Amino acid sequence: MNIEKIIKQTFEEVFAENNKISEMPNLDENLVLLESGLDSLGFAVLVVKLEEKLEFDPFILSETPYYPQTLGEFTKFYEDNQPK
Amino acid sequence: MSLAEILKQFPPEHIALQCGHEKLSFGDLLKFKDSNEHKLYGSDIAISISSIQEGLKVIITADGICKSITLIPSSLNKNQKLKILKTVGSSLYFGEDSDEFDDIIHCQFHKEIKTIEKVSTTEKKVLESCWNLVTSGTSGDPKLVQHDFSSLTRTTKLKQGSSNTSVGWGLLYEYFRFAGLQVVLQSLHWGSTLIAPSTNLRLKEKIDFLVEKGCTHLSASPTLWKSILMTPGFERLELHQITMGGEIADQKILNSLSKSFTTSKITHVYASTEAGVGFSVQDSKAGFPLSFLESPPLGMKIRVLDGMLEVKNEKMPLKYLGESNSLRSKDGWISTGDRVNISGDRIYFLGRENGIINSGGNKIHPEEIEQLLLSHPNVACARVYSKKSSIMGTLVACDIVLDNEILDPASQKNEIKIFLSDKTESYKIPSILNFVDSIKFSDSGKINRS
Repeated sequence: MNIEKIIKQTFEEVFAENNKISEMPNLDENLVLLESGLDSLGFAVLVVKLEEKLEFDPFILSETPYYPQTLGEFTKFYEDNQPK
Repeated sequence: MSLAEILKQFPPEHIALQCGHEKLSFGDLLKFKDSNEHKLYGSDIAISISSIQEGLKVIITADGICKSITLIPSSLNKNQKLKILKTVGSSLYFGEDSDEFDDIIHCQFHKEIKTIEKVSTTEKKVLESCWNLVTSGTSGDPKLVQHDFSSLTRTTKLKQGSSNTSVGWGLLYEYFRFAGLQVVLQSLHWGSTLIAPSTNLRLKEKIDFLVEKGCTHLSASPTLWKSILMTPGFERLELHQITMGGEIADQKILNSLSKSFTTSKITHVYASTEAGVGFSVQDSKAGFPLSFLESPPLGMKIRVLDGMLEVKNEKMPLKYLGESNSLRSKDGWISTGDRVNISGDRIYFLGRENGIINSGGNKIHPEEIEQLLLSHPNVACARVYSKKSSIMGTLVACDIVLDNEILDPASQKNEIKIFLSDKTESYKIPSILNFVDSIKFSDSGKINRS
């Protein structure tokens, strides 16, 4: 399972459903999530949709609280907290 | 003590409000009151002004000389506003949209106090003004809750001494709602500076503004705090006090905030528009101590009955304005609708009863949104329910059965959201839409929302 690919794909889906104004940003690792055109609600939807696809939510699993700022940090957080 | 009397205790040149490029000092606010209050003597006024600097001027002018002050969210539609004006019996309305209204009996519509030409013939009398606040109530329609000034400011203790003038209270809520008004009154009471970023800014720009203007005290919902932590540069906020309310404060967000703001006190507050501030918790742990049942810290009595939190506050309003049903039960207790669980010496919040969805501190009634969805030409059947989210607590989700087959689901979803946005507030629009083949009903024919 390629987490990064699924995250990007899901990001695009959620973005298309939730953003009527700005254009799809370039999904590189330095993209600041809340500056991408997705607001905090869109971000919460992204996490819910990812849980449906990946069957885990690192924000629940991770013992240390963490709120990633960039897409790179976000992806790494998913990879690091993937159930073994 | 009226607001103006409180303001007089502080140096007139000290800044009371910093908003965009505009600053208002304590002296400016008092001067505005002096030259305009004669236009408002004895009135029942309604304020639906989105800009805080204009709204604050009217509030301070009105408190202590108007019979009632009603704060109406500017996002409500014309009919909802008219209904409120009628229920309260307002004689003056101030709002940016005043041109859209035709005068109704006993109520005049104005953009600002300046445009009032005919001066009230009533003489100045010192009154304790009633404050009417709007909440979503229990059935989705806007409801009015009446407070007096002392019940609104029960927890905004007057801080003596000059050190408070270095405090900057950040305002991220709308000032005309209960949570925002609490911040505004707290800041005025302390003689601090209220720092209010423009509401149309992005979160990063709001944080930049708060940093630049020296915000030291900040109140937000747990969801909003999570967004703040996800915003680059938030560390520049030098906070001494963090307050959280509106939703359940979970242990993770409390830990994150303690880690990110090591020198700040962290408080989570239990409050509602109806009951006022119930209690605040300062030990950075989720839930609240069992001992609060025996010795409620702010005087409002608390009990747990059948897993439900109930409160008793003598100062609490008896009923919504314009309605006959009492909010309290016969013995004076009111059910908060919040389910709790007692574990050891702590009481934890579990969520809401009766299907009401609390998303980001806003209450949403599924039936109301289902009805709106059904008025869309392509929607045959709809089920609205809550979806747990690790980021926002709860999201509004819906399953929809469409009448026709559609080729482009993403654009259809977008179209339905736009359809809803014309009819209701943005926080009520489901953020997760699924197209499904059928919707399950319970044996009694009700939609299954679990």
